[in-house]
Amino acid sequence: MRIINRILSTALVVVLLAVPEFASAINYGGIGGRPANPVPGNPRTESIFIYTLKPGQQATDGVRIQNNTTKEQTVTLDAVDSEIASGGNFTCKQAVEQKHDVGSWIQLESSSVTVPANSSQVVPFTVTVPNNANISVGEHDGCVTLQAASQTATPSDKSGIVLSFRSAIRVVVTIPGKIVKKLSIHSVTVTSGRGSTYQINSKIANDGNVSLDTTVSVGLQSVLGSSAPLTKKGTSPILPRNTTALNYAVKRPFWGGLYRAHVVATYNSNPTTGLGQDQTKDSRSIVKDSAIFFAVPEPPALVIELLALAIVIGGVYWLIARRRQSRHIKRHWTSYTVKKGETLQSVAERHNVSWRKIAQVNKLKPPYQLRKGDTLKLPASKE
Amino acid sequence: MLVHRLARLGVTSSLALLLLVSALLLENPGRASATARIVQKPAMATASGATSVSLSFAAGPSAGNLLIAVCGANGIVTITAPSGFSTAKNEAVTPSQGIFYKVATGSEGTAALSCGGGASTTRWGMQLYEYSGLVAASPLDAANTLTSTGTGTTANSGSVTTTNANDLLIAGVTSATNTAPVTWTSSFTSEGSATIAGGTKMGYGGADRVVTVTSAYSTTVTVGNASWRGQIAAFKEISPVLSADIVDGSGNTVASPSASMSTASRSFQCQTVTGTLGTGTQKMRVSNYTTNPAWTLSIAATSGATADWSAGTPKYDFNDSSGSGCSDGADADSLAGQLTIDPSVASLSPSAGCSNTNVSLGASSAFNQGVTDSITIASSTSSAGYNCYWDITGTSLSQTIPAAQANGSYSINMTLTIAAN
Repeated sequence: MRIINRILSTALVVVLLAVPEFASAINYGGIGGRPANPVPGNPRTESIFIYTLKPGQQATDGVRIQNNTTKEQTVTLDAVDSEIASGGNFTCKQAVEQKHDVGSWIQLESSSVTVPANSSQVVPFTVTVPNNANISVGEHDGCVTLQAASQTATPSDKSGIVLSFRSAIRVVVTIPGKIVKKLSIHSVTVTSGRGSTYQINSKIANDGNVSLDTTVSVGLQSVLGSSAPLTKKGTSPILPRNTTALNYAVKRPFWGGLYRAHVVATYNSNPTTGLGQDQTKDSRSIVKDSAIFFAVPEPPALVIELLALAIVIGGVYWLIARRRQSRHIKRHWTSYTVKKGETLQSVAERHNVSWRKIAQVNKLKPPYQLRKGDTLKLPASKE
Repeated sequence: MLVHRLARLGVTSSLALLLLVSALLLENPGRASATARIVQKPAMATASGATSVSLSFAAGPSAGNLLIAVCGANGIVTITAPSGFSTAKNEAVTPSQGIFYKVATGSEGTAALSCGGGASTTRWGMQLYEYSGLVAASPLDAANTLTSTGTGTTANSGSVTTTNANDLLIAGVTSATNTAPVTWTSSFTSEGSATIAGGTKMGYGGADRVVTVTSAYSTTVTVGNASWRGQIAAFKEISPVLSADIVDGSGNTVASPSASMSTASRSFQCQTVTGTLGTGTQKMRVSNYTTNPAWTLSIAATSGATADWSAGTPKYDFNDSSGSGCSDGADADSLAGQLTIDPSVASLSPSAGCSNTNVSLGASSAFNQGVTDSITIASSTSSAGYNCYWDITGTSLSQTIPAAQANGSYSINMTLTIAAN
């Protein structure tokens, strides 16, 4: 039995030692892609493709496919149109869906490549805008998608949702002409968030014809004036002719009270400034507030506030009681001249009132000695 | 666009195209979007007539970052590495030098780190670097295998043959001269140098370079005309990839991921089955090791908006909003049924050292053909973290099944898409 215990203890120690090591192992694996030729000075082009092309023009570029797994991977590439996911976020149509826009403009040199473990490969492609007068001025979006064979669902007898996954690189093609940059905040509402947070829900509409990288700052402003500083929540693309829902968590005001959510959206309003170029110049801010709402205080604040309220109520009650008493004394107590040999105690007993009360009303101080001829205020009825 | 720029400069379009295609086909290390970045490098320390040398970081290194120490000494010294550091290369031959490394735990703080092992007359040089963007598990790729030492004005690092495409190369030189080794060749950048003058003169220097293809790499640096020792080590860089995956509890890719739905019996009433997307053994993982923190993870039917739940012949819909999915009518097919996905109730767990700040889960949405063909699971803004991954579990699924639906084992293929914004 002792031997078994020792074996079990040793095994437990080994497991305990091994688990943190296991848990701390970080998986850097993955298959993804990025533009092979980012434009110097435009950091956005390190992760998405950005072109300005007139109808009939062509751009030549390449997508670098990175295989960070430890196995050779065969990756399928597709060019597809973009679509708007719920909440107004950018995403890509499926490979089987009909292409009408940028997806049909991209010609990949290869639709499938085999990338060795822990290495990358570039697949060249061209983007050719059809020479068609009907193509609208402004931004058109599409995607180059990458999907490894290991990420593709195979026919199985499983029921439920059979999952595949892919990564996509956004392709932005701007057709030059009258570029319109116009943003508006449709609504700002506040809902309870997780933990000690409120969620500020804003709906921002892009009525222009190019996407706008929009920096949003949010905060809660007290109706009484004291407000937390606005927190910059980062930049999100608001796609053209689209309304995007942006939800941000903010800390509950500790003390609670009447608040409104304040949202500031800042974007570059210069039509000649392209995506990823310096957005700080010609920036324009639009603001909108939510309706006023009551923010429930944090539990410790609630306790403190209830205590403070109790103290205030107690204080008011005490003041009222004291005023009543004072009024009563003024009305019903009369002057009394101390006689020889009387003490505060004896006077109090005779008038059936506490000596402390007499001392308080007459502002006597210790040792409360009375002398013949001193005048005291005392209840009238007993004398 | 570049073709037209070149054309404006007087280059013919065909030549411009040729130049551009050539540029595409050639690897260009200088233009690679490297993830390895130096975070801090305190001024190099020297010590004369001492058994050790010490140096501290100005700020406590961040967990997961790679700490590199290059220590040099005159004479034959078996240099002891700073506490907790591993050895990439350590040579106890005049002059002696070692390259040591450690993945920061985050608890190092600004405590002094020391190289030691010499006699009390030893002359020391020590440099410390903190890099982000390098792998935390077994970061060392390779070091120079052949000793590189000699006498003269050009010190050579020796040659390292990398096995990993994206590597950070660290070169160090110790020479018996007080000429500071700062002018490095082969695109190496000097990261620090120091000299000791008087008596036994010494010079110490370090340099780095990020490369993107496996090859043999070396560099040289100008020193005074004296004996020198060079070393070079390669550390694996995190390749800048944004990817989505379904992983098990150990972080390994799940071969055939799926999300099962609850069982329902045939009913003459419209009914609802539920399920969970993302469980402890099938977690949706978004990994972002690029420098662009903004992304969207969405889900859609692999066969597009005209897909159906299918059990062979019997089918029902996933995106018909008519009667909340209980009746057919809102789309072109003759099937009823609607799938609602609610990521807002999911758990979002960041990797160690990362946070959920500015990463948000999508709102509950129902597929609705032509209106909502993709549903956002999560998205991030430009202020979110990167060099991180996030695991998403507990996304709620709810599917309405029309009345009198035939019994069967129904399935639908769906694709998760991770897109950089």
